[in-house]
Amino acid sequence: MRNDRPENGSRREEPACYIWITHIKFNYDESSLSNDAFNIRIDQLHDVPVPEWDQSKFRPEESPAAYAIKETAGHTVYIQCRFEMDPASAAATATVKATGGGILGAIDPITVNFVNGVSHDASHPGNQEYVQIPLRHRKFSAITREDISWEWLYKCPHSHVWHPMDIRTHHRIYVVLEQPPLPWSQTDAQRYPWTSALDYAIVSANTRGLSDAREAAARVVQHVNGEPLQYDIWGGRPFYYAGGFGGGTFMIAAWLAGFINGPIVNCYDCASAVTTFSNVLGCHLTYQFHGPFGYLDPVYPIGRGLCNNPFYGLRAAPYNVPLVGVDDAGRTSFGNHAYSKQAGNNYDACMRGAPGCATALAYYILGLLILILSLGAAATLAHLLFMRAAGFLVDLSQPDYESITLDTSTPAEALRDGGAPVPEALSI
Amino acid sequence: MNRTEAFKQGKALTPAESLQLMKKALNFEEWPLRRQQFVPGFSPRTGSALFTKEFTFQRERLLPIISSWVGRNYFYDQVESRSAFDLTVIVSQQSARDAADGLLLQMVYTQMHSEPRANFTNPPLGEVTIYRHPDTKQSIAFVRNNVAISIENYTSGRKQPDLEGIAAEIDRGLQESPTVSTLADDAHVPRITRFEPRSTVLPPGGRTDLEIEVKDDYPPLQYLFRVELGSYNLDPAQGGRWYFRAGPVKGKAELTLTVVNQINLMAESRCSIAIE
Repeated sequence: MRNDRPENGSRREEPACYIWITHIKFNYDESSLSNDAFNIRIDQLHDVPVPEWDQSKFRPEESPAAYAIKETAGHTVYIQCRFEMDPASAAATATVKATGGGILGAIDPITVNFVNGVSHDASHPGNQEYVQIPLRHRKFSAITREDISWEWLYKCPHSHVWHPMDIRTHHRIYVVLEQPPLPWSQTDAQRYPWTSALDYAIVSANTRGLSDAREAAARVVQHVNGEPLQYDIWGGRPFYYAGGFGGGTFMIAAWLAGFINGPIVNCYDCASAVTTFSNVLGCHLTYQFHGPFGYLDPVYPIGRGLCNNPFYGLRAAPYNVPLVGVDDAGRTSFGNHAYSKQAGNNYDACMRGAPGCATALAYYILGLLILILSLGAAATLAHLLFMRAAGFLVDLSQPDYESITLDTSTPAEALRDGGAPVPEALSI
Repeated sequence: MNRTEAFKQGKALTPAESLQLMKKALNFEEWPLRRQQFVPGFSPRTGSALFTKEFTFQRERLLPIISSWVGRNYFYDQVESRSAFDLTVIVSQQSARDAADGLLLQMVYTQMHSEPRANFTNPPLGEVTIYRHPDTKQSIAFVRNNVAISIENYTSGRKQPDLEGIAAEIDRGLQESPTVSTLADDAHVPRITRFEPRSTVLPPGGRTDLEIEVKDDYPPLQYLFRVELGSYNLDPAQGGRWYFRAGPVKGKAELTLTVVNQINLMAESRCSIAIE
């Protein structure tokens, strides 16, 4: 039964008309992302139809939309809504607004014209049954995923009383730094960013609230490195990455489905995961193949203990253990390696460095000083230093990265090195 | 220049360059691979090989289709002994060389430094036996007709699987399998008898169901799509029906469907939709 309780203590009265919302489009223009949401999918096999909301949708995850901070900055963001009115007349004018809205904000009162009981708006080139409504109170400042709801209200023609539509629409809103680059796309519909990837990158990797691409990528590295996975000590083969002629494919669906290809991974798997999940947030990582690579300094391969002999799984003694003598040329080495780069710096979730107490302490002290002296303004830099203190290989220059991971201290070790990172195409 | 020389010269190698170097080092062009003797599919999941009784099948993963071969990994283990191996099967419907190409591609994409060697003058397995490491307990690979096999040891206990024994059993099975001169019309290959959209013309953003009918005796089938100017999707509300959603750009959308059956044979079909 319709609730006709008026707002602001105005007297209760039967409305002269009924107006209700039937559809909402967030991504009404697939070719643009400055004034509306950008193109997304649920996952590999499921698209997000537009309009994203209709009366059959009750849960926020059934009505997802995603926005890019960079592209929408300085622009008015709109949604398009379709309303119906009863009784229908040839022409009528009413007013609609919505409270709530969370990050998208409340919707200010807007005049809606009705033709034969259906809303009508000729101000835009799309379906004119949809009214283009500005989101004047939206707040896009950092990566987030927020479930929002709007409570819709209306005023009948010639009335000053707001009546609730008795409908609260629920939506799941994603905000990322900018248009997700490769392997994602805004023109290839199969590679529109997946909400399941956004869930992983925002919620699981705990990037909510971040506005810096370096820190966002670092959090993804931290999360991937902490997954219940173990480095392939038998041969260093990939289980979630398939190499091809001129590039590789990240088996993202198997990753997101709970690691259905098993718990063993190599660096290609980790690099493709870091690249893919960082980039869905609007970071700009590229997958790098580095061959030859060489002998390792003592590091922590993902899910393993301290190690400078990465393929000890099937080796005979004394090389059947992860850590052998420093500079022992009989130990195993990386024929090649893969990691990610952003703005020239390296991100690697396949292993963690072993910085040692003095270095770790120096990172912590430096980070604390930066936090205190900048009064929190340089928090990103401090956070990155704290992560490096814990051994995470994040935002490191190539020389710094190699000094942590590569052992070239003897001529034999230096001989095994010699490669350089080369970007490789990555698809999903 | 082999890979060791590349290391010595401090040259950065891409995977494509590594593949070429590996082929050269292994004298790939001289491999005596058989022509027009096609084994009509292979999977360790069918048949009754002894190793499938000793080891428990855990999982499989189909590799992306990037050529005319189908590649699939099968992981087997023995929980009590912590003995395990990963078996890669590559079946080409085009040529033995194509399957061998796929096998070497898998070898290039590994991190462990190795100098593989190939025995094609007196191979114990297949027409070519490839050893990635000096220790044959770690891995072994071979090419028999249009099928390439690679077995990698993933044991974490003391009991090692007999990789050579497993490989020999697979090779015997392949040798005993009847061969055909072409797989084009072979009954083992799945047949896509219908692949067409319900509507051949769509507006941007529009949707049409895809009518798909496949004849195959080796289920389950894997459906793999490549589409342009739109996306392929599965409608769970309609019993898993596939549909095409047009993108925003007008033009002729080409759709390619590849189906792969359990014995790693595939069929491909195409159709198109006008987006106007």
